[in-house]
Amino acid sequence: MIRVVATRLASSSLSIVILVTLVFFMVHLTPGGPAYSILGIKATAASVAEVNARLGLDAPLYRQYGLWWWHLAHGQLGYSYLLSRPVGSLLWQYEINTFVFYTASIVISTAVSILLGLVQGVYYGRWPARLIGGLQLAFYALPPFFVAAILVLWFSVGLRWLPANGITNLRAEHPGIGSYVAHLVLPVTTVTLLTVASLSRYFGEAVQEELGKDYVRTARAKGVSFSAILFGHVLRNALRPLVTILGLSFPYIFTGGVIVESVFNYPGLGWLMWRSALSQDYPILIAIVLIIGVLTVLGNLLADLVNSVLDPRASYE
Amino acid sequence: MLLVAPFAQAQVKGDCGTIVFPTGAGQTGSDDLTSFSPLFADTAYNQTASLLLYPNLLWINRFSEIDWSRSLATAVTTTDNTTFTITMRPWHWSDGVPVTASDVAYAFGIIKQLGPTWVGYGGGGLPYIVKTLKVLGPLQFQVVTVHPVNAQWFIYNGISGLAPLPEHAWKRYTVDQQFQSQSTPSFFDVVDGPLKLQSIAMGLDAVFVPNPRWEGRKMHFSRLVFKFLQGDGANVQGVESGDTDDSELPTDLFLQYAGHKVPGLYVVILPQSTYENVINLNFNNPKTAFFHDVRVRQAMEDAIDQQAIIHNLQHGNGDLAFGPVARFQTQFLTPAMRAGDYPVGYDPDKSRALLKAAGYTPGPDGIMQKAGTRLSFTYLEESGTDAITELDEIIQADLGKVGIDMRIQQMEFNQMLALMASHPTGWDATGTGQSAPNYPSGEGNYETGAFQNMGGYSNPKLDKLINENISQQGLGPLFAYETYVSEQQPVIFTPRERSVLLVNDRIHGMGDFINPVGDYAPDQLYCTAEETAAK
Repeated sequence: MIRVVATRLASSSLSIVILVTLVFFMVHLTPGGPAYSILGIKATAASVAEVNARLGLDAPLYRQYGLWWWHLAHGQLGYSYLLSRPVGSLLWQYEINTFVFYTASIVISTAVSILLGLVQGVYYGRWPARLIGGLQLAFYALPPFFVAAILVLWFSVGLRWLPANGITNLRAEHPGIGSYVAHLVLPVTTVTLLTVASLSRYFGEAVQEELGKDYVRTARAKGVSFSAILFGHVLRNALRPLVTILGLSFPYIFTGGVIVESVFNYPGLGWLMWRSALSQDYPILIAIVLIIGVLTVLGNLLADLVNSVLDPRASYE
Repeated sequence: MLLVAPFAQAQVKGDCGTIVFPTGAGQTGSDDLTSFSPLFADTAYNQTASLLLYPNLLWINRFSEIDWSRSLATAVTTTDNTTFTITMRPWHWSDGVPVTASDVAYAFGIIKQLGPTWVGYGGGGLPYIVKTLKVLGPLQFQVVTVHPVNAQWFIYNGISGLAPLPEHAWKRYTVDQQFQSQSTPSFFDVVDGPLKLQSIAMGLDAVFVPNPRWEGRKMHFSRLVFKFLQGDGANVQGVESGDTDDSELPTDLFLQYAGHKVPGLYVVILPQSTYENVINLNFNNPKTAFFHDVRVRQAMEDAIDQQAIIHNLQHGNGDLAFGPVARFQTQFLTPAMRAGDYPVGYDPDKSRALLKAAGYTPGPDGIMQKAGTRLSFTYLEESGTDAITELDEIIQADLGKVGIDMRIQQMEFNQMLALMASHPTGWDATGTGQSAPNYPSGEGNYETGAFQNMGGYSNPKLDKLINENISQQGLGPLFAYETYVSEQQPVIFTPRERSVLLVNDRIHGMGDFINPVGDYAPDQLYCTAEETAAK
């Protein structure tokens, strides 16, 4: 197993190096640059040259590229040109927000998806399954910004039950945990609604497929109760595709989603990435791409490992 | 029958507790605060925030006049228009150390060191117009310019941009260290402004509290929080849901709110600002050489129906602009302009006549042309703001009516700037909002090589008038300059739009909170504490 993990990590490292290299050169070759964001309307050829010199952006690109890896090897991700902070500490601040947000979303989504999927599988062809299927399709078709905007209009602007954006009540000098939770409700609900729409569909189909298999028929013929079959066998087997999908979602836990975080002005990594891209704050952008690459690899690997535990037949040797 | 003595309701200024504003009230849009250093604050939002900690020597009020009662300086005198003596009021840093003229000298030393990378470079000729800055005493210093200057210009645009910085707290840091600390609250522990920076959460908010040693007017809040919100929608939703206390109201939402009473909110239309919106023409591009013909430029200005823009798009919250001086700055306007008489103005027939006089005739597609050159250009537009797009489309339609073809191409702002700076011939025209100095002198806008002169306009006569405007006394040179700019149209002026705010009805004083150049006077904010007193 250790050999498998080591081999997978080694082969994936090359992919990450290629990814980061591509992004590094692409963002540096895009017209503009951080100097223009810093100087704004005062950007002249001379002032841009001065700012570039101060930021080290006047060095040849290959040298900047080499320096970036050199700094990474020494545990440094660089310094944000626009936010005037070391990238490492910035990412950490945004990362915490994203981690809480997406962990809550994925945990709730998974639980709800399993519940709905079971109902959908068990009641296949009858009205509960059809109702769930209709809702799945409806929410699957809705774009995230639309769902988010509707939730804000209803629950923040209309009813004033929940805050529209941010992560805490700024009026309170020492906002309690309740304030953080309240600010999470709408973003988490948005992600949950959209994630459940796809996850529960996958899981429902898997449950339905498992329920039609021979082992279920045999177990029932032997007198095993339906609930024992459902929770003791079907659930475990149907979870495999769900685990694979969750593994692919793993990077989201850390990088967030650009759209939902933007609508709710939620300061997570997705939002930071979007804004860094607009202002061409290269160090942040490249660091986040690196994180996405690493987490995608780890997410896939983790999903494979969990699947091999769930189904011993699945071997990745 | 019970007789009740007549009562009068008197409002006293009550404490608001915590006030939450998005950044950018009175400015365009909103953005994160990332720097609080007056030396490095690069965006308008950062500059506004830094001035709350380190106010400039002079405060310019909403009428573009110096408000001495709010200024750190008490007098600026000169006898020869070269040597200026500035006297400061006794004042203290938040750690109790007196603010002195040496603190101004210290700040000026760093400004000279930073050179063109100083955010205020060039304003009022700073720092290059200053030969010496000498400390005369604890509260007095002397500035000697390299040549005689228009005293009013130098005071309004130069001296007003100077601020004391806490030498005793900062002198141990190099400029690079100061640059690296520009968003670190502890670095800004010693201030002389009305507020102190309590904390900043990157991407979230910055919390300011009243400076307990502030010797100016009393604050009526315990905390002023600037929340970093992105986008018009988030801003409006914020104030509607009660999360924040104000929001910039986009023009397309104005009627929705202004016409109806929304519970808990009211609309504030801010006084006119000096900020101007213009179309920058590229004079370096051979493809748009027709911009060199003043008749073409005048025809463009005459084709744009500014009244219609103000009425239909800005819902009356704008002002006509045909020249470099805002019409509310009456003290700087020529008598003719004060009466509304400009060399240009909306007149499509005159516009067509000017084009005809310049030799242009309508082509088969209706676009004016001369010797195979069509009056056609591409206009770069900053992407992402509906109001800008709507304005540009109206201008496009107006120009089209007289046979000028303006094609709009959207682009990200910094990519647009990069294109303009690195490829001087690679663009035709663009629209920018540009800040006008306190004294409307034009050296930063229209002089050959000026930093806001993006299109490379160069006119020796205008250069001479600008030079006279900043070096000669009296309003005569200013009047000559602004008349000539209005006639020549080095940029095409479009209406100056007023900011409209949607405000939580517990907050008062918003109209006085923001001055014409977008600086904040937090002491003007208050909440009502109704006091019923029998007369």
